[in-house]
Amino acid sequence: MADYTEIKGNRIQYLDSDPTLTSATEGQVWYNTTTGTLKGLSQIKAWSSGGNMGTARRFLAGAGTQTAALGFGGYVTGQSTATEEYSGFNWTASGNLGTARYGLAGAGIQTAALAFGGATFPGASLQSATEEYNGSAWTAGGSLGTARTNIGGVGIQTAGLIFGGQSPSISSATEEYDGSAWTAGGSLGTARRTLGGSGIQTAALGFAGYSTANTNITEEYNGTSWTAGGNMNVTRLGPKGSGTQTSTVAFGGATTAPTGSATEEYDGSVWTNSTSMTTARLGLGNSSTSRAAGLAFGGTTGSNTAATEEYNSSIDTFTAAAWSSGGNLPSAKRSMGSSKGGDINSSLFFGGDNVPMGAGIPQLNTTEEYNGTSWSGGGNVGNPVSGTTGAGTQTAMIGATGYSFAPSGPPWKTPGASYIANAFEYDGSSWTNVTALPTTGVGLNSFGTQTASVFGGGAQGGSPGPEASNRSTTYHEYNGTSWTSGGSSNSVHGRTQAAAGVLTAGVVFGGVSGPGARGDTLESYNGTSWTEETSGLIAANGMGAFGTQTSTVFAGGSAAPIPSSPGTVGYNVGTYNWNGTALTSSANTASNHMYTAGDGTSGTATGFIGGGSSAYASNTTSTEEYTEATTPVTTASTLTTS
Amino acid sequence: MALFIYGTATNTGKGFFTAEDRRAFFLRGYPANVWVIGNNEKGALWLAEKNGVEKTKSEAQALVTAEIDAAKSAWDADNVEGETAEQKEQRIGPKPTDITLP
Repeated sequence: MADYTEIKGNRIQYLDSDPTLTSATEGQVWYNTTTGTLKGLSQIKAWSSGGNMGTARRFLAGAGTQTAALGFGGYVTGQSTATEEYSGFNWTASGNLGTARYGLAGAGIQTAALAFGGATFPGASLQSATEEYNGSAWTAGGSLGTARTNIGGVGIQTAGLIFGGQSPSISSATEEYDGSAWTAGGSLGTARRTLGGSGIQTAALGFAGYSTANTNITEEYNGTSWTAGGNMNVTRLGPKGSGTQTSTVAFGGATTAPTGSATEEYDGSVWTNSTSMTTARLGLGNSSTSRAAGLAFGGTTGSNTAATEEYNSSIDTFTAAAWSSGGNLPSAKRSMGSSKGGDINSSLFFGGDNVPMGAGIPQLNTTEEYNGTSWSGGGNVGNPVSGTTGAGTQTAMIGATGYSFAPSGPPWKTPGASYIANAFEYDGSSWTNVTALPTTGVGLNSFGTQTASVFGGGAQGGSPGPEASNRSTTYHEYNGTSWTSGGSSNSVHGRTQAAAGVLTAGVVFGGVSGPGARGDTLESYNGTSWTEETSGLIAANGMGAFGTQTSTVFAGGSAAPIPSSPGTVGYNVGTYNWNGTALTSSANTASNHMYTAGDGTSGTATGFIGGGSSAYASNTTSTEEYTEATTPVTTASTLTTS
Repeated sequence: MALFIYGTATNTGKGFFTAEDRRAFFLRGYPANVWVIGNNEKGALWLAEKNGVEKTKSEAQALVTAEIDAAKSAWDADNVEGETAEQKEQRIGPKPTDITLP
């Protein structure tokens, strides 16, 4: 057997410490004389689960990247027009294809994709239709010269490529798309159907598929003609690929069984086995143009699957953001306020409701303090209050607004009832009423400290009930003694705890924006005025939040009306990170939290949300703690003989 | 010691299994939410954390077989008048075949 010197031409280096680890170090082996270990740097290749598709289906197509993908068409119980967009965490429905079909191919990116070919039943009617996607809707493009299904397809919206397939006989034909019309290209050396592909129109790869039997043939296209590449290790039908002509990962498809999980990487000449998919499948969709970051979704494992898997190949390791279980609240509640300026190890909830939504508002006066592990009781609020909000820390905070009545006042929904303007401070053990906010209010949002805070939005003035007519963009500032007017927001943000920051640097996101409507706008506050920063990712209310103006986590709430019946329709488990520039999706919470609250810090530290409504008929004691994704770290492996 | 743990767990999507999980223990998904997991501490912990239910190999095999049998029956019953066998396979894929768990 050859030793290292024969292979590499030099001996293993003896080093006092590990070298600086970069991509240039990949593949090197050295002996660390300090630790007495043989070490090396290699790529780490693994599949991990992604968000499940909304519609389980097979023989679908895809486009885009691992964190901004598109899945469309396929076969559910019949051919489908369904289109879904992937954020890297969740799939959401988008505009339907004009022509329902399966066995089609896709190309392009999430905001500029191409769908072409495929078939419909009965009769496996072959399709020549091309459709172009603009990020929300599909419109007709130029038709294929030859209608066909089970094709290979790659490229971008203005430079697509189709090759092979059935028309209805097995085809070697290639066609090129220029954004408006398809023209003939060079034919495949081996006519095949249900083959895989990757790359671009002028540098494509076609691999495996079925000719007279399943094959492992690879061919490379240069924009004019196909030439032979290296054969795959695993002969198969219907693999999918991600990458370029000289750097591709292929996965899934049928091998000797109807479904397969084999994964292989191609370097431009040779295929190398990699780690298998977790769930074997055929008829899957794919996206990404990177060997290092592939995406597989849908397909059949015997029946349709909605499962998504993400492939990563990197010398770096990192831990994705995640939610984990925290200590449960002593009793379930929702619509409470929180300290909002504390951290995961020192924060509190106060007030709230303990009955299902729609069952009235019998407010609570309880306070619960969280130490990062468990909740314990604090001093009671003077008057029971719900739909309230707060600012500050566990030992120095202010709460204000909400459904609250004088102790002798009438219960909620009593005709003629009126609720009271209020404000109350907590010192770590007891609450004291202080100068009331200048107006009554419910569902306001807040941030800051006990002596420098902002309260506003929601519904202000009037009596409970006519909340819809009292939605407000007015904000008030508190200096520890008195209230003054703050700036007015550009949009209404009601019934949400999705606000964070300090008086001179705050942020609020979403919330009720009108009758039955949820807003999608994120605004920032500079101590004087509000600025709209972004919108469009998701419209939700009742979320919790923590962090700073430039590093905020929003989670929970509802993204659609919640029907007045037991169930979980409308609840949102998504999480959204704001970095001061962009709002992006993050890990899902494990359970529903509508009208939740949270507290925590930003950066590498963590926060939490807890309580809230978990279904129409019930509230939850659940607390979930958030850990941000870690920065990628390059780590050398210790080589052992085991 | 047995090489694998067998169990059922519902794939909840993102984070259900991570790249770190895949490096730490063997993991394969099968029909009927059956998972075959490498029999080490991290594998066992993963199943518990996913609210999974541990099964014996024969119990897990029975679940997979029942699911495949149902899929076969559905495949046999899914016929369109005038459709050829090849067209049927294009439309709904090849007929499911038995799966034997490792």
